[in-house]
This record gives sequence, structure tokens and C-alpha cells, in this order.
Amino acid sequence: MAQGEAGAVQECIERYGPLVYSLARRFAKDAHAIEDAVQETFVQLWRVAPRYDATRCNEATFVAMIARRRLIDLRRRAEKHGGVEEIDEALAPPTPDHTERAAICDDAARARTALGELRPEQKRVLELSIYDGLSHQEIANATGLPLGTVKTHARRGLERLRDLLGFGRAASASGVTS
Amino acid sequence: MSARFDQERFEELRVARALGSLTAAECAEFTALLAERAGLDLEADEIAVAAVELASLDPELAPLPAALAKKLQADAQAHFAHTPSPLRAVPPAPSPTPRPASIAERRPRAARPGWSLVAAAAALILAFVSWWPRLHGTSPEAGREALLAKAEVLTVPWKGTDFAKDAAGDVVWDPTEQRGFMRIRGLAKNDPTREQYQLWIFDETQQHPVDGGVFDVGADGELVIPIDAKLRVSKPTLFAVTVEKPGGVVVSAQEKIVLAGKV
Repeated sequence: MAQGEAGAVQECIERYGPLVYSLARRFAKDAHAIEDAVQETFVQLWRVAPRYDATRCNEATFVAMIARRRLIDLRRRAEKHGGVEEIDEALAPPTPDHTERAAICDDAARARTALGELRPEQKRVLELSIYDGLSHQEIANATGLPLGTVKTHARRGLERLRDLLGFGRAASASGVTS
Repeated sequence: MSARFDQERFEELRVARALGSLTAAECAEFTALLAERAGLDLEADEIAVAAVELASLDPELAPLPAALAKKLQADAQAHFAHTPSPLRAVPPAPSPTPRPASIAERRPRAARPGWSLVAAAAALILAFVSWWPRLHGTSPEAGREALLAKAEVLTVPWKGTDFAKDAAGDVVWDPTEQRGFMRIRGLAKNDPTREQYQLWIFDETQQHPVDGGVFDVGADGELVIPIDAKLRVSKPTLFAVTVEKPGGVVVSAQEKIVLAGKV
């Protein structure tokens, strides 16, 4: 029995390890930094797993949310120590177009559809932010849009996404504690 | 500043937070504004962003390196050996199903074993591998010892309050790496379904105490618990442990402080 339950954790690592690893590779280039990020994400997952609400989002989405939190923290730390490479706009890959490809989970498929329903400028700003990790100022520099306009597109785009995806929860406690 | 300006600024920071582009100064500003807005569902934004992030991933994910998978196993065993309580509170899981080849091929949500799968693993792993963390040197104790070997760390003794007169221990904090450990003895066991302990770090540069993480005391003897500071701690002046509702709070009323350590 003990073997079986230890195997359950192993199954969880096998199921979501590649997902977290793939996300970490987007945020960091250095192998050690990637490993640290994956390890920190899983430690955090063990802590917050009881708070997962299956009625709200897929497990994979929950895992990705926790991973993003840790990866963003790590990126901030790396930036402070000068460990993050500046994005060369000329070399940066174009925003991916995966509209024809299978999605990782239902939420991802719905998000892809929802993105397509945004205004093009909102979609572009959110993609540059989420996929390329650009700050609002960096997006303004890259696109030539005024900073205030970038912020407005980001805000309205995210609000629209949230509404389209229906992830909200009425009168919920804040989620910032995890 | 007008209420309307505050609200517009809050929404701007809220979006930046969800997108991961808050600076340290903006984090502090957001925390202060958030304190005036109880009951908000901030996770909805983060979940939406996470779903968009997933939308761009190829379902054929990069395989996890075997060596890293082993480290994750060791980390899990170390974690459950020392802080098992929250997961133990979750009901047992149904039998695990055969492992899928990829996430995309998995069964619909309603039929999945879900996080209870992990929860079920926690309780027995506690007894099953309590020796494992020491073997691999990844336990909080080992982490604390490693941190103590550094010259620039801060060590602060705990002092139990009237709520926990026999409690003692210390805090080790590395201001450079922004990580640390609490060592605690004599703190009463808690029922995590009713209340949990929460660490707070008071910082000269922050308007509100920084959340250092929620934890449980489920065993006698000495506990070593990693600190999980949610914001950057630049000039810590005081560490404190309060008793809060399960899951912790964003801003503590500090009605029940059980440990304090003045820097």
C-alpha cells in the first residue's frame, strides 16, 4: 500500500513534470535555473494542492498557474542579479500560432478560442506579455503604442478573457496567499 | 488621491500582477491597495493567464530529465515528511488509473482522481520515507545548516508570547538570496481544518508585514520550516507567527501572535 501511494506522487510528477519543465524552459535558459524553477514549483504544488478546486479549472491550468507564480518570482530574482538575457527583438521568435494544433487541456482549448475573440490589439498585447514575458513598457517600445494604450489593451483584454473563460468565483477569498 | 484614481491604479496593478510584470515597488503598492479591498478573487486573472499560456504549448511536451524527476521525488518526500498536515486533511483518493501518454489524452475532468491522488500519497509517505531527506541532504534541516554556513545570514531567536510561553527556536534568513528557515519547538499542534500558523516579516520598506507562508505543527519535537516570503524583504525588523484561518490571510489582524523575533 505504501508503495502504491508513493507511486501516486510519482505519477503526479510524471504527469505534470513535463508541463512545468516546458514552462520553466520558456522563462530561463540556464539548466540550473530551470531545475531550480521546476523544483520550487513542485514544492509549492505540494503545499497548495489541497486548495485545488476541480470545478474551477483543469488540473493542468492550476499547475501552470502555480508554476507561473514561481517562475515570475525567479525571473525577478534573476533580473535583480543581472541573470536574465535581454530579448533581442530582431531575434525573438514570432508569437506562436497554434490554432490548428491539439490543446493540452480543455481550458487551453477554450483560451485559444477566447483569444481569437479579442480585438487584435488586445490579443497582441496579451500574447507579447504572456508568451514573450514583456513588460508593458517593453511592449510599448516594441509596438510603438503609447504606454497608456498598452495598459488599456492589457486590462480590457484580460477582463474580456476572464469573462469569456468564466474562471471567476463570486465573493472568493483572495488567492494571493499561496 | 481620489478613490477613482486609487481604483484605476489598483486595476492597472492587478493586471500587471496577473501578467507577471509587477516591479518590487509596485508589489508593495499593490499589497497596500489590496488591504483596502477584501474578498477579491485575484486568482481568476491568474487562471485565465495560465490557460492562455497552456494554449501555446505543444501537447507533446519536452520530457522531464530523469535526474530532475528523482530530485522532485526526494523533494516531495522531504516535504511530506515535515509538513504533512494540510494534505492529510483531504479525503483519500480512488485507485490511480493507468498513466496517460500526455495530458491531452487524459479523461474528462469529472472522472479524474484529481489532487486527492497527491493527498493520498502524503500520509503514508510520512512514515514510509522519513529517512529519505537526510540521505539526500534536501531536508529543511540540511537547507538550514547550509544557509548557516554563509557569512551574511541573519539569525533571530524566537520568543514565545503568552499564547505559547514554552515555544522557542530561531529564524535564519539570507537577505541576499531572500530565503530562510524557521526552527520551532514547543508550539501547540494545530488542526489545519480550523486554523493554521502564518509567518509575517516586518520590513522597514514595506507598509504591511510580508506574508512568510502558512504552516502546521503536527508533531512533537523540533520543526524546521522553509520561509516562503511573498514579497522582497529588504530591511527586516521583526519576525512574527500568528494563528489564522486555514489557508492564511492577506493582512493579519494580529489577534493571536504566538512567536516573535526582533532583529
